[in-house]
Amino acid sequence: MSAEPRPPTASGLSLDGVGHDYLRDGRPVPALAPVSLDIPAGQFACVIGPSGSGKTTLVRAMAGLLRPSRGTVRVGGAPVTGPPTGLAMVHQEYGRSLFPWKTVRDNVDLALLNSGRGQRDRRAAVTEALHLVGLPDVERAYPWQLSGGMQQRVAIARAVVAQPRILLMDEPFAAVDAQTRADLEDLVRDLWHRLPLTVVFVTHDIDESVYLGQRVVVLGRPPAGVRADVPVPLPDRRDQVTTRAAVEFTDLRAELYGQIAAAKLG
Amino acid sequence: MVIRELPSAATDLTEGPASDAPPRTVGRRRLRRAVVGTALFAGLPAALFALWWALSAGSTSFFFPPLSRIVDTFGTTWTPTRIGQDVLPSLVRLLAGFALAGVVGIALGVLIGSVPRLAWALGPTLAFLRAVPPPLLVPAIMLVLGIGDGMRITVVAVGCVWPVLLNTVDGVRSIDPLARDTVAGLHLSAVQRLRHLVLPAAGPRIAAGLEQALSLALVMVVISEMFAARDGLGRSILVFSQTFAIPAMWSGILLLGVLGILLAFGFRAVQRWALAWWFGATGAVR
Ligand SMILES: Nc1ncnc2c1ncn2[C@@H]1O[C@H](COP(=O)(O)OP(=O)(O)OP(=O)(O)O)[C@@H](O)[C@H]1O
Ligand SMILES: [Mg+2]
Repeated sequence: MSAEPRPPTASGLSLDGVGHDYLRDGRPVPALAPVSLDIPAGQFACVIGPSGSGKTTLVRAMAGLLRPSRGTVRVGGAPVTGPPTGLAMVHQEYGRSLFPWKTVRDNVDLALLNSGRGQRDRRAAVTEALHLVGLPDVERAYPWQLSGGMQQRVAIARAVVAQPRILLMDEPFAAVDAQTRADLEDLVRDLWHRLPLTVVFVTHDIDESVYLGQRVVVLGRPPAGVRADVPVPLPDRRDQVTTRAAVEFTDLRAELYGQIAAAKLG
Repeated sequence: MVIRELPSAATDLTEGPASDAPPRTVGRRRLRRAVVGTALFAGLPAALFALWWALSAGSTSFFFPPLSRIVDTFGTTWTPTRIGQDVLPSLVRLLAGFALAGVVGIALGVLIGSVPRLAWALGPTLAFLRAVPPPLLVPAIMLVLGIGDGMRITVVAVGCVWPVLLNTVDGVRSIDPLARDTVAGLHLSAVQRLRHLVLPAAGPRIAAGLEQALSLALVMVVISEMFAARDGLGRSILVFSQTFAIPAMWSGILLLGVLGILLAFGFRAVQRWALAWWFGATGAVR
């Protein structure tokens, strides 16, 4: 695992036996077997697993949006009981998480409404966040006037504008085209380099997880929990062409592919 | 290499996000739709009017005078003085009652829509109240509030609150859970959630309810003025019919229809402005 020096303000995240059952018709349906994980401050961790393996359940528990049936999530050492401050989340469906009645600027500003900061100060922060994600000219547009990739950038700007210490992303790029996806992957790496962030990135895509992460956690079908947890032996500076051709990349991808295939079988 | 779907680069490119650049034919199609729309829109009422005119032209019936006579009477009946004395008070009551219904309907609707247990508890009561025909409420409301404007405004409000209330409840209930997750993660206060999520998200449904309420309000104001009224459009029409001023009575009914059209148009103009985002986002054409 490459150990880059991280600014000291990112927070770590730890899970202690976190598991969850949903109730369906009054009967518990296991969705996530107890997971114990420690994600140190400043790490970029990817979570993969077949469909239905509980990835969304896991990040929702981390985000304080779901109270797990078992176990405890801790952010910066404190147990999570509701959405913690300093934690931001980007959802898979940007179309549903951006508000169509607000302009891009006001959508991003939502994250600052309760910050106690003045309007002018917030406006400047919004402009800066939109610059950071490469969208300088769309402040007055509405989300539905933008392409999917641009909408997801807006969602990312909203996530980072309040300077969170932890960024959770649940399959954020599953719905955009390949080229846009590559650009957004590089954007997330770049943000992680520039900001004091711990990133937990959920994806279906094995290549994406290896390309992005310092570490890949593989979930199996419930009630399997964590099936594998492997470091990514790639250098810190990555790029779409050479990194994906590196032998470490292809080896790890092959290994994970085997893990996932086995996980699907149960 | 993907676990669930296996999108190759090629399929991914074709399945890219919808571009916002409209195809070239859209402009022409939109123009044609506008022309056809306008023709239907203005043409149908015009045709009905013409039909009424033609069919009633030779009428000798006392109760169904020729439309030409009704139109003649219209000018002499609805003088500016009379409009000031009878139509204006009706409009004021209508708008006051409508506004009251709007405020109460939206406030209660948001409350009921946000608290499932409340909806459950109030279900039977609301169903009961809704089943009472509003005209029957007039005598009861009169007993409590007397025969002044307060009573009439209340009658209008009680009669047209239902579509606002029920649509608001539905609108609030159908707010996307992901949108709720989003605001939960953004740490908004209850008031901020109301203002930035709940009201705008339920807005299109609330507007649909208000639109129905507005047409009901016109009916209700006329009904309210048929009981112990000194002025108002409803009273005028009642008096005309009781004094067998049949063409004047019909002209009053015609005026009601015209008012209905004007109110609907005014409402739509406001709706287009207030919900511009919705018309833009959904491409809805009305
Ligand atoms: N609200 C819910 N009620 C009942 N069962 C649920 C609910 N949400 C998820 N589940 C079940 O829990 C399991 C895990 O779901 P989850 O959404 O966490 O999986 P996932 O790994 O995110 O899948 P995907 O890759 O398809 O997004 C699934 O079997 C799913 O059917
Ligand atoms: Mg999921």
